[in-house]
Amino acid sequence: MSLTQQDGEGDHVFHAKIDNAKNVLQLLKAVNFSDVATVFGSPSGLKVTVEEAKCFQANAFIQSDMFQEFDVKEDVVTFKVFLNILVECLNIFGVSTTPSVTPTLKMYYNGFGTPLEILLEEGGVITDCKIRTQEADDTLEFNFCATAVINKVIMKAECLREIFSELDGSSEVLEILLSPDPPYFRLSTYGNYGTNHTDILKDSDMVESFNVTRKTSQRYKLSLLKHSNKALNAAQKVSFRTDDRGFLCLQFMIKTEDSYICFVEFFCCPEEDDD
Amino acid sequence: MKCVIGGPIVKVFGRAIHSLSRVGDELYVEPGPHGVSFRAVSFSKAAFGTYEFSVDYFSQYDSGMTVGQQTGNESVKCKVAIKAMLNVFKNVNQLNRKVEKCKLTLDGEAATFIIQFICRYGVVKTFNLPFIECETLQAVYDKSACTNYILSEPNVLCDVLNNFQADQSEVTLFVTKEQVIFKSYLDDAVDQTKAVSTSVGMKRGEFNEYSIRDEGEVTFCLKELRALLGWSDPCCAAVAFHFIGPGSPIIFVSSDENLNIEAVFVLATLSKPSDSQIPKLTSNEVSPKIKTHNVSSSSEGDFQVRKRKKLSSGEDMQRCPIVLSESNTPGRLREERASATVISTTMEDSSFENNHDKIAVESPSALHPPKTKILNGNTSFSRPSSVSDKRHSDVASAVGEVHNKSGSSRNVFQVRTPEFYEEEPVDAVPGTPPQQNLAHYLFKRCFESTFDPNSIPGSDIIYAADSDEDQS
Repeated sequence: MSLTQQDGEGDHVFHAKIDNAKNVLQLLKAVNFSDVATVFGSPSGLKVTVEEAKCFQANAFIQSDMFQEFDVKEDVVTFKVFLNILVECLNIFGVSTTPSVTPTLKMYYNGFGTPLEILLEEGGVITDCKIRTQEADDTLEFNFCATAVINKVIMKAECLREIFSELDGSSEVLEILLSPDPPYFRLSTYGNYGTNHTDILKDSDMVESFNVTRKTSQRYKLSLLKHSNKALNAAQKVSFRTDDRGFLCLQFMIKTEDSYICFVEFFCCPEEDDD
Repeated sequence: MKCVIGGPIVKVFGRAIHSLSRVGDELYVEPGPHGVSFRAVSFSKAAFGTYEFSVDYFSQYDSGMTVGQQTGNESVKCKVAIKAMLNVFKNVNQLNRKVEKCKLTLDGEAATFIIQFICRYGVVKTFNLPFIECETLQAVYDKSACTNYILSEPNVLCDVLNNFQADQSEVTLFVTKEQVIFKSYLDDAVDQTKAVSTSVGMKRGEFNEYSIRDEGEVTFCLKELRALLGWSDPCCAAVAFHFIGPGSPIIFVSSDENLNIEAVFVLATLSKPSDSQIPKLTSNEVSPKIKTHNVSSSSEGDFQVRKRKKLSSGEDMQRCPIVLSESNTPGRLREERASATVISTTMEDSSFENNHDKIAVESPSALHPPKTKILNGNTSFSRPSSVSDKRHSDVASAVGEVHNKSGSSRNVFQVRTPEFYEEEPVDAVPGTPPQQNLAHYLFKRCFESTFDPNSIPGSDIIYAADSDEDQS
């Protein structure tokens, strides 16, 4: 490829190359509900974090082994970038008509104050983009540790997709009830036209594992959870986890175009009880 | 009440809800010993729709009446917001695929109507809709008193109604012993020049059953009939029309015998017969033709349009009953019938120019006895450029001899006294300006009648002689 001979790679703080930019694009799109994303680059890969309302966070993980070349000179490279623009740039060739032709991507970042440079090549056409970066702020730390998890459900995304698409949009909150006894797993909305419940049996074909030790019922803002729809639509499996504080962690397993298994996770704070 | 609907037929119920949602805002649920009815009435109480689901439709049915206390303890009757129901039955066509069973429960104590979908993969969706208890909703109508009865396949009716504009609100049904004509009804508020008039005729052979005792017409709302067909068509349930005439309700009945469902829609009809003419039923039109015309002059649908087409060609103009006579005394009254049709169409015709702006409208009080009107007009057939000197001598009176329907007096004109007429025509009804040379027509020189090109100084000087004839 012509891209590889362009300039010396040694002086970049971060550089990466991937044969199919769509793998990256797919994951970035899944968390693209807000303008600004914070990118963390480490030797294990990239983490793209998007937040909203100080109580909702999405993380997309792009492992380093998805890339053909991946090099981070420092322990962690951090910068903030406009996600909309990044997604737009990566999508600049649109959907290619021939599936065999995929855009090749090279990314460079030279450290604080420098733009994120992107080179995209498809069928001999090269796009060169420079996206300005910002200094990264602190991101939310949810302290969601595995030991504090009390309930965990893994299910196929197909089923949840259907349920989420039919949730009553007039409801402000979504109540998630997990219980070792019936009704096991219940999603409730309280909308203008009454209360709706959707129950999923724990031995349904759609549920792969059901580890619920204690009955918990928490309400989450439906408008925030709706941000996960893009990820849900791309996902194959979903894991629901709640910890002892009622924090919710949704993990979506997404299979990229080239069959890499990647994860996108969402953290959401519960609504405070009124009483 | 508690009942269970099997998965494959849930969509029939869903469609009934969608159909009723187009009638009213509230859904009345009335369980009875033989089944449950779902009803809706329009805000103006002009339309009423009901779906009666018999016990056999349900795989399980319990009306909620305990056997011993049937008289004292009636089952709960209630109404729920139909939007809430629509929310539940959002994607009717997908219900089949997903829902294995549907449970309907009326919980009188909690005042909730509970709908439960038991879906595949062990998913249960429960919708708790609050309801208001109410009395029985019943429309007063008598099917057996109706003298006219037509039974038609729903797809035939759909094909007919698809020809009407989506925003067409009412339709008039003209019936004779041999045929039916559906015609769009345009009320007076509609700008007749812009409205589209549609009429569809069907022979009696197109219907399954046909029994007309009283020929006539009824005008009713299209919306609710479409709502009914939205349910009947997918079920292939034939639709029966029961009606008498204008002013008494028209009843549509459609029933699905396999599933034991009966749908009844009762619609109000317009009480006064429409002032349009009943389409002439000539032999060559009896075939089930579908016509859509853009009527630009009045509501008289296809009758009007045919007349207009004749007028637009030059030779047919001869046949049109306009009497042209040299008249220096145009104020003469004649006992003639004037036709709205003729006037309005001649105004459209571009070869008639400069006439109606000279016709003065009589005082409104004199307009009302419609049969004793005269119609005299200055009809000059010349182009505007040559109008100047000729136009006063070309005064003619146009007298329409086509019958005038009552109520169309707006188009009857009378000419004032000759002096007034010649000096300063009152422009009560301006004629349509000619399409071509519009600017010349509107802005012609005000001194034209006295203008003599030869009087302009220097008009006799020739700057360049005529070129050689051969070259020209």
